[in-house]
Amino acid sequence: MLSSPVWRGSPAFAFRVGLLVGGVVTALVLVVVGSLARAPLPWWVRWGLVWAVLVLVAVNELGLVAIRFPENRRLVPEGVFRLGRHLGPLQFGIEMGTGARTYLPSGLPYIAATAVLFTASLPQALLAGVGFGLGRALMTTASLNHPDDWHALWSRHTSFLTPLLSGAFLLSLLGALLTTT
Amino acid sequence: MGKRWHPVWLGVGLAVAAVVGVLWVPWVFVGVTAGFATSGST
Repeated sequence: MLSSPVWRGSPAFAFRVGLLVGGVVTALVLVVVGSLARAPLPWWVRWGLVWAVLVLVAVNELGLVAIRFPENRRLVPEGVFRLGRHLGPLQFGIEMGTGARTYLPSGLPYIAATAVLFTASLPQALLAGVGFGLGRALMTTASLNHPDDWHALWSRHTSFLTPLLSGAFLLSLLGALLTTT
Repeated sequence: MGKRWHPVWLGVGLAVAAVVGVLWVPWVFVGVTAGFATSGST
């Protein structure tokens, strides 16, 4: 879908803006709901929940157990483009940016969402939401600018990229822990 | 020129940026790494 000529120029930009908006929307929802859920819990219990989800994701990714995390196992329908050349990609981007509209092939967003839900302040949640959108936009930008099949390359190098990104994520999460305790 | 968008280069660049940026904006990198890790979805 992303290789279509419609994804050049301003429609692609609208899609990226939508990714950022979607990430922020999810972060806002999580921090609002989380502000209620976390109220009776001390900080160490809240972070304990984050690390518990991290362990669940890790054992699931390693194939030690089979856990079905909540996931919208559907492709975004083509009808999303009915809004036109820019609003269509914008809406598509928002839906993709929320992380709740389609498949999630990585477990890291579940850990990030739990951390935002239970530990982040509003500014920290917004930063994480913008970051999530940026991460997805980086993929889109790279895919559009690389001359070969970018997703095939990703699949070919996934055994290197998965632990690399997981390590970078874990380091960032530890940094986040230090900023909230 | 487009080769610089190779996923391995981006992954390494993102990891290096996270190492440097974790001291200032760790929450951004929590989001960026999680978002980029979902790259197989479209």
